[in-house]
Amino acid sequence: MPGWLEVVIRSVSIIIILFAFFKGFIRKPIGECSSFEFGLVAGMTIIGAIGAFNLQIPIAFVLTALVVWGLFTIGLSILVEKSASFRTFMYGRGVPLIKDGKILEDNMTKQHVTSDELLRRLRSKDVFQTADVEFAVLESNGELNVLLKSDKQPLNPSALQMKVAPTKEPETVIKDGEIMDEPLATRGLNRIWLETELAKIDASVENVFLAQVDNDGQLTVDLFDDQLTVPEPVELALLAAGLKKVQADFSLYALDTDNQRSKERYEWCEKEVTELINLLKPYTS
Amino acid sequence: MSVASQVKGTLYSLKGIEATLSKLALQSSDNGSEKVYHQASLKARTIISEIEKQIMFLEHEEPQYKGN
Repeated sequence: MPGWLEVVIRSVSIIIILFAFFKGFIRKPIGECSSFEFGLVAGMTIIGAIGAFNLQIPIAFVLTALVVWGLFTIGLSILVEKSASFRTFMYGRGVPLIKDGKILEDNMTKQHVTSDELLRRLRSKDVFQTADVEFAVLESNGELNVLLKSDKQPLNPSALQMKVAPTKEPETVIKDGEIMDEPLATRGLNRIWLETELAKIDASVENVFLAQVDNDGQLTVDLFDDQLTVPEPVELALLAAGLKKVQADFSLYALDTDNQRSKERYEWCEKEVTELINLLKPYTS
Repeated sequence: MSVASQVKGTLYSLKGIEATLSKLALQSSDNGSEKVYHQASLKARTIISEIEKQIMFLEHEEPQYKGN
């Protein structure tokens, strides 16, 4: 067999072996591996690469080395999964750099973090003043994670004691002008529904770049033709406006009538509509 | 416009609202929202039945406007 042919055969088979191994056993991105794991993976690749063109090394030796390194990598990942103490040994533990709002200088020196670096990392977390930080931890992979003091945290509905409607992921039902049947079916909708909704906004399927259904079943679209403006879904806004109109009507009737029983009935209706408005407030606003 | 026909206008608005709520309840993908919409549509239905009674009463009072 000519040498070049052997190199081709070796290369292809080693590439396939490595691909199968990395695909099957290494699940995390290389950036999240510890340096040792990265070394193991790199070692296997290098063994494979050298074995592919160095014909003096018998192929059996190359394969043996690959198997040993591979078994080691698998064994390591199993151990890391099973044993918590081994995990800490392998990856180390996060070190707090700021605790109770105070910078821990000792930990900073131990981790070789300078004050400039700490400030830079805080800034990358959108924190420009260390006084805003309650707790910050330097993770074993070098990332700095920050807990802000509660009065500096971004405002959210629960802080305002506000009720908001729950939200679910939207389904993308048209991509590049093509209807996606599966997402439509998961929402219990069909092509006829979609065509009706598109007709309502005067759009044709071919002209739609993206269309999504939100959790209330409202359709939002983006057209290929950016000159056209698409009406936004107004169903919930119309609902809120309609309810307010009905509420005002009942108040008016109650004032207008002289009949006591009618008055009571109108007032009852007005009260019920007000309750309805309050019930739907998280959804319509 | 007689009172009865005004009240009828309100009745039709409410019927539209009830239909919208039922539709939202059917289309909603979230269980919590679905329940709220369903509850709201039931409430709208009780109000509708109350107004229908009122319209009957009004038509009895002013028979000359009946059917408007």
